[in-house]
Amino acid sequence: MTWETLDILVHRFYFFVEGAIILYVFVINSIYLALTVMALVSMRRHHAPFSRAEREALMRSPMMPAISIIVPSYNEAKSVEQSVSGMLKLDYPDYEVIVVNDGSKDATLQVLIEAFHLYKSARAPIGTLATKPVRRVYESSDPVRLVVVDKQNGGKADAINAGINMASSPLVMVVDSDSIIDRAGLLEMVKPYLEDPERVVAVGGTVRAVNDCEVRDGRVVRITTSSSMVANFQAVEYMRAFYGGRVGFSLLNCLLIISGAFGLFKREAVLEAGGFEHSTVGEDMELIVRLHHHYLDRQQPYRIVYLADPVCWTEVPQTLKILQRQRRRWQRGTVESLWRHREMLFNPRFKLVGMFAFPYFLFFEMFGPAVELLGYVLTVLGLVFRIIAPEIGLLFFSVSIVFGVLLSTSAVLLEELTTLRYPSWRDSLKLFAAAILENLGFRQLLTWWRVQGLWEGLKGKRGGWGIMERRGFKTAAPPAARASG
Amino acid sequence: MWFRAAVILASFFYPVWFLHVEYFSHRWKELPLSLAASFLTVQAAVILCQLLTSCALEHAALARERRSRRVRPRLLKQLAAYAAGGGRLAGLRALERRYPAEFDRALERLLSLVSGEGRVRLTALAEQLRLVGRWERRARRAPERERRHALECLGLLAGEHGGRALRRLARCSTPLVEASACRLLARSPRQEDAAWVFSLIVGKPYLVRVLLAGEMRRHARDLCQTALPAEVASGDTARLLAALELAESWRKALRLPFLEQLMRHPSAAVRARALRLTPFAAKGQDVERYVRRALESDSEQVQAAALSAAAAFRAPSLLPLLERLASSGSGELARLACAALAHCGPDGIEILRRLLLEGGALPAACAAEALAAAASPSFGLEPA
Repeated sequence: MTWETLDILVHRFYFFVEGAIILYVFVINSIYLALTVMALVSMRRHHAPFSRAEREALMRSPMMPAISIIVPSYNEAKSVEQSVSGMLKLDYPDYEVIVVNDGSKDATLQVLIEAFHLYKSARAPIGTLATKPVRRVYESSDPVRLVVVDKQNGGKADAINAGINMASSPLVMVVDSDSIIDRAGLLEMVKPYLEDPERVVAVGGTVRAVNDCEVRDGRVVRITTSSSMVANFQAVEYMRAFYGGRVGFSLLNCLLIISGAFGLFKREAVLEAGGFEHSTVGEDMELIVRLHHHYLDRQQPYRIVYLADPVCWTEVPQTLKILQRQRRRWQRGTVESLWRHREMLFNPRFKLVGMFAFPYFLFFEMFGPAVELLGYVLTVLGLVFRIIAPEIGLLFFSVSIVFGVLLSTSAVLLEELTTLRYPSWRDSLKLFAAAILENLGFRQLLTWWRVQGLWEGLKGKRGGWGIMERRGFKTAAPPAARASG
Repeated sequence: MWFRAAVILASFFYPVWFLHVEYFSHRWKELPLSLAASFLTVQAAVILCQLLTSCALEHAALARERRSRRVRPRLLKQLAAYAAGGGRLAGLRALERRYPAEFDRALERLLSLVSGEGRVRLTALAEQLRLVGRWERRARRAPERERRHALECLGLLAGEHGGRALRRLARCSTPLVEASACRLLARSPRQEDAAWVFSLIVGKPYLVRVLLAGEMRRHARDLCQTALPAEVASGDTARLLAALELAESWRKALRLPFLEQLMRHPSAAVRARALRLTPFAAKGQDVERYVRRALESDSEQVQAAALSAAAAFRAPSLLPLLERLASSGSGELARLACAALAHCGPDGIEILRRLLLEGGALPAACAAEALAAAASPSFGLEPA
């Protein structure tokens, strides 16, 4: 074989691989675009939060199902008081808050005891999920329904299970302890369940970045973009992920993930499925996949719904180091969940979940970052060594980066067309700028971390609680103080 | 929805193809270059359009807000004057023509604040300005959110409006629109309207019943004489369960002559639901015996309902049965039995103390919990 033949073969092989990657990236982005368009059409038509009169009727109705809000907490001394305060002031007629302190090493429990005047309670767990031993149960002597479960450290899933055991309501909501729920969030969240209580087993809401938004009395009083571009990139990314992906998958009843930071579940369904899984870092996704598995296996009708209206505000990482850990963890969670339920892949018994959502998550969400990274590397090398023509590079650029920008700007526009939460011009322009800029370096960085996460997941690395450096919420002065100051 | 989504997608991809075939492929022979150029062109155009739309949306929202802030006080002042018996119709008509959306909002706000003669005058004003007709039309045709808003506006008017239209809307397939229409009908003083709404909503989604529970409460006594017995006689278990659940939600003393019949119903769910109604049975009905019988039932569901009812009766004759369930029942039953004992006065508390000291692990834990609850200041304020 001469050098010339070898050169031709390398060129052809390179051309084939590059073409396949371009096609792959085009397909994945086209699916995203299709899901975003479906979300746009659906939300324009069905975006109908409760009116004031309806909210009042619901608040007065004795038929509203009780909800237990479970707040797993680990080393959250900085933000737990504010977020629990906010959770105790939600518009809902019958709910309790159960904070589970998972053996925190900081003053989380002490902060709670002092802030909410807790006393030792005799309340006993009624659920049967296996968890690490509970040390003590506390209740608040204030006129609020707050229960604090202090237990040995066992991880987030273990803490949630302990909370489910303690809950007496037919519905449980799992919320991160660094999160703030919109005041009417609970009422909105329960809507799909009220529409179809027999079939709805889980409801997911939207998670948004709270960084630099002003918080007073545990409520977000002024929504604004962050001064940190990393936080803004994530704000756009969350919009794209929630509006683009989840609305579409929810319409097809094949949603595979409900964020662990904000999800409502039928308690009975979670108990029947065996609770949250301890041995995975992606316990939120794993439970949803398991619920699909459980109900489709038994051929029982069920629905898992995503709603764009109820919003939970959460602090997103502002440093790349913490963000890297978080994303690697998430990717590991995806790998573990998909691996555990691999029998669902292309299995017609699992209907659209097995035939569409599962393959989509496997080929695009799990292996997507690796293929995308390979695309970047091959394109750059190909251009440097002149193996591929510049027009191929341009085509790759258009289907990956510019298409990515289009998807991000579409998500921002979708937000403005439906809820218009960011009230100022400056914020909108900042979000559009973030939507463009995040595709020029930040997304590639995320891709690299996700590949690392994929590798760790395939190797079977284990993990506990994710470490998040808390800055605490930006507190707003009360109106009177503001006016005078 | 699928069609619309497909049209939007096609309107994005077709121009890419069109530019490639009709324009760029003639200029450049390399296929990737032509495709990339057409794709980039369309993408850039779409992104630019999105940016402009976003700016336009922001601008429109700001302009709306500014106009509303400027006009609203004036509108409210003039409408308030009109409601009080002053004001000129011509001036209000001019304002309505100039600022229809703000006028609608201001009138709605004022209607929700005033009652009596003021509301009657504002209702007459809405009729004279043909707003009532507009709301009725909107309630039938506009998107869901506007339909509900129009129905709410109609609901604020004095007297009755759109009777037949409301009955039609109450049968539509959108739960929140149905609920709004039913709410208006339920406010009617006519008993037949309330009975019609009751028989309609027991077959509707749970959300509709939750929204209507409060509205139906005022008709509770009459419904227990007419509509509820009709559901008992119908033999449809799902409708019957919904009807009993509504009756329970009223939390009112009611005459329930059909309880005996329900206690013999083949469905355990119906029996359990009926037991939850027993604490609300009017005096003179000997319902304690139903609870006693149910505590000995084979069905856990029925036993659990009977325990909740027993907590309300606080009858000494039930104590031995409660003690038995507290010490030998399953987790949930033991918990409920202990909670019921806590409501039974000193004798119940004594039994709980005994269980705490002498019972097994589960009864002791449940007894401790019930005793702690009984010691809390809020005990007895909530039904067990």
